[in-house]
Amino acid sequence: MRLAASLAILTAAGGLASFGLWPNSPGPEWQALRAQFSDQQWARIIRTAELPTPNDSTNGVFHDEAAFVLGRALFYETRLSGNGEVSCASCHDPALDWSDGKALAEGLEEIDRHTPSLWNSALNRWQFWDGRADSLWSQALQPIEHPKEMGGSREEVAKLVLNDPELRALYTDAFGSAPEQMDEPNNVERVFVQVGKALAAFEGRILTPVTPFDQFVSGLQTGDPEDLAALDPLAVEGAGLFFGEARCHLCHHGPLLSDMEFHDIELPRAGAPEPARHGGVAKLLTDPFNGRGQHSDDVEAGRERLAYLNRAPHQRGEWKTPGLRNVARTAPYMHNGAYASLDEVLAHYSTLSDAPARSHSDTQRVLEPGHFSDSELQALKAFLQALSSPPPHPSLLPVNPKS
Amino acid sequence: MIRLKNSCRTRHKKVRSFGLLLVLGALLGSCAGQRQPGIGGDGQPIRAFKDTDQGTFSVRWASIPHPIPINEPFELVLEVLGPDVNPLLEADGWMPGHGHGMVRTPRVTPLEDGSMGERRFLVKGMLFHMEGAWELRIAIAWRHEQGDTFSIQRENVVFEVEI
Ligand code: HEC
Ligand code: HEC
Repeated sequence: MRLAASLAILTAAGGLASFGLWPNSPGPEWQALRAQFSDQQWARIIRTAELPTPNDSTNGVFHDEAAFVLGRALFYETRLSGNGEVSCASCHDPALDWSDGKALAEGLEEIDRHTPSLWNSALNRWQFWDGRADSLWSQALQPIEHPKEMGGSREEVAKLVLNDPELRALYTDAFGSAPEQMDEPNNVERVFVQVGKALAAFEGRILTPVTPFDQFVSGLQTGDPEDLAALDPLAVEGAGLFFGEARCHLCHHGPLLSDMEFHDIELPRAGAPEPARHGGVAKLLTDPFNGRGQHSDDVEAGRERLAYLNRAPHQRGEWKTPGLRNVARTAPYMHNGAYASLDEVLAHYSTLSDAPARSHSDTQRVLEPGHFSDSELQALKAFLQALSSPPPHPSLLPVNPKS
Repeated sequence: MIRLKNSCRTRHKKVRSFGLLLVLGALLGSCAGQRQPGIGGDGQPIRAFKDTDQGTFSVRWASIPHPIPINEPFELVLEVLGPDVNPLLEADGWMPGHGHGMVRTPRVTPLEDGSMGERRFLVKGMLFHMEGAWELRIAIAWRHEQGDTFSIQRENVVFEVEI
């Protein structure tokens, strides 16, 4: 009998039981919340707990302190660019949550993509909106040479790193030695790749500290009333919608609140859909710096990453699902900066009234208008705001900020 | 054509002591257990064979890990009973409620035949990136010869999986 009763309780706790988590003596706050969510919502919410530790075996220095220090110097280094004025931080500004606050990015010229925040980018499965890079280190090489972003070149970057006494010392710390000769193409390419790997070691630490929502999820697991109070009732209602009826969780799930894959959410556009993921897969497979190429430190793992990629026409118009941690502070939104505020994003999901006409061949039916009421819109927004973390750790800021 | 459905064949093949096969054997449970759905000692459900749409083959599967995780790669072991042809296998996932499939194309490696003479295959690269109702779709194709002509035959079997 007693066993049956405790089994019944465990079943009622749904997802909880399978996580082996059960508050010692759940108080009334906990019980009220437990009653507010279905088993499924509960399990989905628990699944967002705890960011995993990033790893990348194709980058041998990913966890190295010396590579991190070099990477930090390079991240804020404007001399990597063609005109000496643009650094990674020009667009990924730590004071703006590693983004730029603009609808479309502006380097040497404006480009037609919105700058994503770098929070937790080390946990992405694919980098860029179209996923055309499979690691942070290979990603980092592209903006440096992009004529509209930094307009630099691998030759100039290698020359800078090997000739500047400070950078050369940091490089030697990180990689043991630095080539004397930089006129050989092999050396140039090697130094360029190491620059990418050091930048990745730096970016690997740009992980969101604990948010009110994380505190709340921890409260759900321990029953701690203080943790449970980290979300106000409106945000709790928003969480219920997000992980329930509003079906946001279908694509925004797990610790990043992203499935890390690609979807067409029917943003307004003029003309035919862009190649998006369809083009991204092709570029990824031919990228000389991908994980199975000669510069990878774990070709086997790199091969496995790329082995099962498929390419299909429906991928046109499909962009990567962004993670949502700190989303309230990273307006504007979407790959093309289409929306200036969370209100505009939520209005889109509510009505899809600005969506392009669905074509005959569209078979995907994931996205349906949510028809949210005003109070539901407020609740969803309150939930998204509860995903905001404290600012970046001081160790991630430039060491000698230039005036 | 020899039809071999849900029957334990007596033909025993010498199985090399190949770690993976031991695991697979354990995963799929014993032949005797197949008609009774339940949970085996390893925590995997003991699965029943299911016929392909034209009834030529019977197929069953197990996932590694079990249960299938959400949005993490997993592998499948497939066992196929049927006539002595050289079957080609394709495994795919489909979400009937959403009208889309997987974001990957899995790859199939033939393994050594099992002790009932069932053909075994390892499928790598499976990924169910969203939660909900999935169909695990298995297609079997083979070359059917008639005189000096041949055609490619194809049959399917679908398993419903909720993750
Ligand atoms: C001119 C502005 C600009 C500069 C400079 C810039 N980026 Fe970016 N960054 C972007 C934009 C825009 C994207 C998205 C581009 C796309 O998807 O096509 C992006 C994407 C990324 C991503 C992928 C994030 C994700 O979630 O997919 C990373 C990582 C990144 N940049 C790191 C860097 C690093 C490291 C540097 C310096 C070497 C750098 N960026 C320089 C604008 C910039
Ligand atoms: C079909 C999958 C899917 C569903 C369902 C979905 N999203 Fe999204 N979401 C995406 C994708 C993909 C993007 C990026 C689209 C782009 O840039 O073209 C996105 C972007 C966003 C952004 C902007 C993030 C940024 O940094 O630009 C927010 C906020 C957001 N979604 C919230 C929600 C909410 C709230 C819901 C539920 C009402 C929801 N999403 C449902 C896939 C989805």
